Amino acid sequence: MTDQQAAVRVAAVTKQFRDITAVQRLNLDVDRGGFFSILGPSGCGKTTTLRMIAGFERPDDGEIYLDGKPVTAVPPYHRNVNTVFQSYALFEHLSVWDNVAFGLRRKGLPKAEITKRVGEMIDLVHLAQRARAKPRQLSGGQQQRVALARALVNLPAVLLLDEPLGALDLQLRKQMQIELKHIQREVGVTFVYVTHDQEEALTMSDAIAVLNAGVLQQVGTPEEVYETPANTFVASFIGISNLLPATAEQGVLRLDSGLTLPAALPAWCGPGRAVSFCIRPEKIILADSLETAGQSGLVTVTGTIVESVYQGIMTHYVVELRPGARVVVVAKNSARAQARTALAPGAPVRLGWLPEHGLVLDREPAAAGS
Amino acid sequence: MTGVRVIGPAGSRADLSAGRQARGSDRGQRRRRAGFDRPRFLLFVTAATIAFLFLPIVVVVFFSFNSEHSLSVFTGFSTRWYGTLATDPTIRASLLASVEIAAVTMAVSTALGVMLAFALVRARTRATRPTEITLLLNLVAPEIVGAVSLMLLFVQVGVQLSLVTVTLGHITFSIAYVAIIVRGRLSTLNPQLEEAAMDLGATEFQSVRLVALPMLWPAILAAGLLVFVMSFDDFITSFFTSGSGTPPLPVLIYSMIKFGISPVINAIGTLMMVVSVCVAVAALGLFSVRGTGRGRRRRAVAGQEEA
Repeated sequence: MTDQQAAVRVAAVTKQFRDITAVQRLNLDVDRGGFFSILGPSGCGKTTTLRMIAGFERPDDGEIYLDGKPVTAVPPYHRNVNTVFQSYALFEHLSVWDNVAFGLRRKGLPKAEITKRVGEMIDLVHLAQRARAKPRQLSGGQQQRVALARALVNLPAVLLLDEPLGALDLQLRKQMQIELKHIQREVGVTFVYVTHDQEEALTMSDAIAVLNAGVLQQVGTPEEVYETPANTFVASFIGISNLLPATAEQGVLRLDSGLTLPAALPAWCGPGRAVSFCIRPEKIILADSLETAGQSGLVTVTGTIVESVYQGIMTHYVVELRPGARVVVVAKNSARAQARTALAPGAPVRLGWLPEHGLVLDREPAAAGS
Repeated sequence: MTGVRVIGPAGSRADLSAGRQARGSDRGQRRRRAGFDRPRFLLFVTAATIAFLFLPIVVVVFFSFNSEHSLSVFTGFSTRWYGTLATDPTIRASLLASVEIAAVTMAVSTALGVMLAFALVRARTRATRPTEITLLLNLVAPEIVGAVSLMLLFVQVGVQLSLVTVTLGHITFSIAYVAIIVRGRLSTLNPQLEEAAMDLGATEFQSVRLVALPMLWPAILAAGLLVFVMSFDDFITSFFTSGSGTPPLPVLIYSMIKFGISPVINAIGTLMMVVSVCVAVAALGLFSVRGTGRGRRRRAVAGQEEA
C-alpha cells in the first residue's frame, strides 16, 4: 500500500438497468485525502457510480478498487467506506447518540472507546446538546449533521456523499458547504461527493469528474474544468458559456454567422470540421475598458448592444456580433457611471479578448471509454 | 332549557349546553359562530348503530348471569353457568384447544407473513405480482371454498383430521393477512435505511433485525393479534378440518346448539368476547407503553457507555 495508489479506482465499469445504460466504461481515480466531486445532470449515472463504490450495486463489467484492492464482489458491510445518503436514512427508533454509535457497535469495539469516539464526533458536528434527541425532533440541518457524524465516526478510507445538501435551503447549504470542507480537512478522510450543483462542486472540490449520460466527460481541478472545458457539454454545464457554431479553416475559425476569428486550432481539429467557439462572458472586455486597459494582442470584434441587465457588482450585456450571433458579456461596474450609460441598448461596441480565452470545442460529448 | 339538565354533565356536550344556558334566546347567533348547523339526526343514527351492534352482546352477557334456564326472563343474578363451564371437561378442552390453535397460528403465520412481506417489497421479481394477486384472492375468496378444498386435500393425502390440520388450515388463510398488513408498512419504509445499516457494518440479517424490524414492530404486532382473534373465533375452516376428536370452541358451540340452546353458550360467548377485547386492549396498551419503555432502556444503555 503505497501512497501512489488511488483511494478509489473505478476501472472500465459498466452498469445497466434493463435497457438503460446508467454508467458506461467509466474510469476514475480518486486521490487519497482529497475532495473529489462527481458532477452531472440528474440521470447521468453519478449516484449509480457512488452506489457501486459503496457496494449496493454490482457493476455488470469492470472492477472497483479500494486502496488498490479489488472489492467488486465484497458486500457493503465488509468495505471500508461509509455513505451519507441523500435522504439521510437516519434510524428513527434510535437517538442521535445511538445512530452515531451504530457502526462502532457493529465492529464490536470496547464500550469506552465507542463512548469516546461518538462523543468526539457529536462535538465535531455541534450536536452535543441534542445527543438524546430522536432524529424526528431535529431540524433538517441537524439531521444532515447526524448522517455525516454517523458515517464519519467509523473513520472510513473513503466517505461517499450523495447530494447531502440537496434537501437544505440555500443559506443553510452555503453554510454546510463551508462546514463540510472544514470537517474534511480536519479528519483527512477522502470524500467522494455527488452533486448536480456545479457551483457547489467548484467551491468544495479538489477534483471534479463531469458525467453525462453515464459517460465521463472530463476530470480535472475546478479551475481546469472551468477554464478549459473538454467539450461543449462541460462548457455549458459549468458556468455560463458563449457557444457559437463554427467551422475550422486553415488557422482561423469561420463562425456560421460569417465572422472569421483567429484561433489556435487543437490537433484533433482538421480543416472543415464542425466545432463550437467558446468564450466565457467575463473574459470579454468591452470597448471602454479596452482602451483604458491598453492591452495589446487582443482579438477584437464589433457589435451592437441588445440588452443590458444591471446586477449591482456586475452588468450583463447581450451583444449582437452578426445577425444570429449573440454573446453575453459580464463586466464589473467599476467604470464611471457616464461610461456605462454609453453602453445602452442600441449602442455600437467593440469587444476584445485574449486569444487563449477563445476555445475551440468539439460539438459531440465524449464517447465512452475515451 | 330542559335539555340542559339532560346532556349538561356529559363531556363535550357540557360547553355547548353551558353556552345555551347563557344565551338561551340567542341560539341562532351561537350556531352561526360555530360555522354550521349540527345535524341532530346524526346523533340518532350513531346511537341506533351502536345499539344495533352491541345490544345482542349485552343481552348475551346479561343472560349469562341468569339464575334460571330461561333465555327471555331474568330471574336473578348467578354465576352458575360459569360454574358449569369451568367444570365441564368438554368445554374446557375445546377452549384450551382454541387458544392453542390461535397461539400457534399467530406465531407461525406472523413469522411466515413477515418474511413474505419482505420478499414482496424488497425483492421485486417476476413472481412478485402473481404472488400478490394470490394473496388478495385468498382474502376475497369465500372461506368455505378454501375450507372444503383443505379438507379434501387432507383426506386425499391421507392425513388424519385433527387439531393439527385445523391449525394448518388457519395458518394458510392467516399468512395473507399478516403479509398484506406488514407489506403496507414496509413499503413506506425507506429501503436506504437497510442499506445504511449495511453500510455501517451490519449484515443483511442484522440490518433487518436492528433497523427494519424495530420500525415494523407495531404493524407486526397488530397483524399477529388480528390473526390470533380471527383464528380464535373461526368456524368454517375449523369445522371442515377438525376430526372427531376435541372440537375447537366455535365448532363445539355449533354442535351444542343442535341439542337446544343452553345458557352455558351465553357464558362461553361472554368469555370469548372478553378474550378478544383483552387482546385488543393489550395491543393498544403495548403500543402506548412501547415508546417510553424503550426510550428509558436505551438511555440506560447509553448512560453505561458514558460512565
